[in-house]
Amino acid sequence: MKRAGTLLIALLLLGAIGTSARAAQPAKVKNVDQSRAEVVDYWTAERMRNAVPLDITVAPGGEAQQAAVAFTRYEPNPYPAMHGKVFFSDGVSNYVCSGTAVTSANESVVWTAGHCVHQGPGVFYSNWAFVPQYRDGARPYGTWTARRLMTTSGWATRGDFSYDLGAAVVNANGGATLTDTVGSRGAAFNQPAQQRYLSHGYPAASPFNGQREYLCDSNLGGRDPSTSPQTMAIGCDMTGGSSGGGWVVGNNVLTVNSYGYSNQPNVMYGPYQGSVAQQLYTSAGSG
Amino acid sequence: MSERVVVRSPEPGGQVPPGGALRVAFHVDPGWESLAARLLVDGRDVTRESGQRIAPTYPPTRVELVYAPADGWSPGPHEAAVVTADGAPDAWTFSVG
Repeated sequence: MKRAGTLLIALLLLGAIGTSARAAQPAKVKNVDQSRAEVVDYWTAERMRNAVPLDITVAPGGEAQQAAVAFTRYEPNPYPAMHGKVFFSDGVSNYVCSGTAVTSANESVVWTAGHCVHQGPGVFYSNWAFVPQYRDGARPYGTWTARRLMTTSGWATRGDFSYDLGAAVVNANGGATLTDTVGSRGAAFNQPAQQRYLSHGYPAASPFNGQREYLCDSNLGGRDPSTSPQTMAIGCDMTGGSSGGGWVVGNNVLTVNSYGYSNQPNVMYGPYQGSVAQQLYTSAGSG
Repeated sequence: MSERVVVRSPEPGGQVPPGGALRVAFHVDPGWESLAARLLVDGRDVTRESGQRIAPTYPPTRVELVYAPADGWSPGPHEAAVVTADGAPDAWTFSVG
C-alpha cells in the first residue's frame, strides 16, 4: 500500500514536472539597438505631455464573468520612487503603461506587462523608457531607457494573457543603477492568490489624465475561468495607461495590471506569477 | 480604425477542449474606440455573447474576443469566422474534443 502510494506521488511529481517543462519555455528577448541618448532625446517633455486622453468609448461585450469587487482608490502621498510611468512607441505611435523597479542582481529590472514591451505575437516595441515617480511632467529620477526587453514565450507567441508579463533591463543613468537610485520592490512567485493587493498605475484614459499615480486597494475578487492558468481579479477603476502597474503585497510584486472586460467596469485582471514568471524574472536580473 | 487579427485560438485545424473557449485577438490602431469586427461561429454572430478583453495601455493596443457557448460545445467540427470592417471574412475550422 505504502509502495503504491509512493508510486502515485512519483507519477504526480513527474506529471507536474512535465507540465512545468511545457509551460516554462524560454523567455523572448530583444537587445535594444537604440542608444540611451537617442531614446532620452525622443521623449521630450512635449511628447510625454502629448500622451493625453481622448474620450474612449468601449462597446458592450458579452455576459459579465465577475461580480463587482469592493475596492478603494487613492493617490499615494508621497509617491513611492520605485513605481513609475512607461513610455514606448509602436511604429510612429506613442503609448504609455506603468511599471515597477524590482530587486535584481543587475539592479536594473523594470517589471511590467508583456503587452507593454511586445505586440504578442509580433515585435518588441521601440523608444522604451521608464520614468520613476513621474508626476505632472516632473521626472525627479530622470528617464531610464531599455537596453534589453523580455517577455514570456506564452505572450510573445500566443498573446496569452495568462503569461502577460514583461521585463526591461535599463541602462545605467549617470553611472548609477536603477534600483540603487530609486529602491525596489521584491518579486514573489507561486504565492497564494488570496491576498489583499495594492495595485499601482498611471491611468491616462478618461476620466484620468496620466499625470498622477494611483493605487487600488482590493482583496482578490476571483479568478478568470476562461484562462489557464487562471488569472486573478481585483476591484479597480484605473483606465488605459495603468497596464503593467504592479500589484504589491507587503513589499513584493505578485502580478501586474493586464486586462479588463468591457462589460465589467471596475475589475482588473493580472496573471498568476508561477514558474514561467519566475524564469523571466531570473533571466532579466542576470544579464 | 484598423483592427488586425493577431491571434486565432485554436488555430485552423486545431482543437478546443469541451470546456474551453474560442479566442480571437486584434491589434488595434491609436484612436480605436469600439470593436467593429464580428465573430461568427457555425454561421451565427456570437460577438455580443463573447467576452471582450481590453489591455489597458493608452491609447489601446489590443482587444480580444473570448467565446464559449453557454451550454457547452457540441463535439466535432466547427467553423469560426471573423468579419472585419475593412476586409473579407477570415474563416477557419476547428474541432471540439
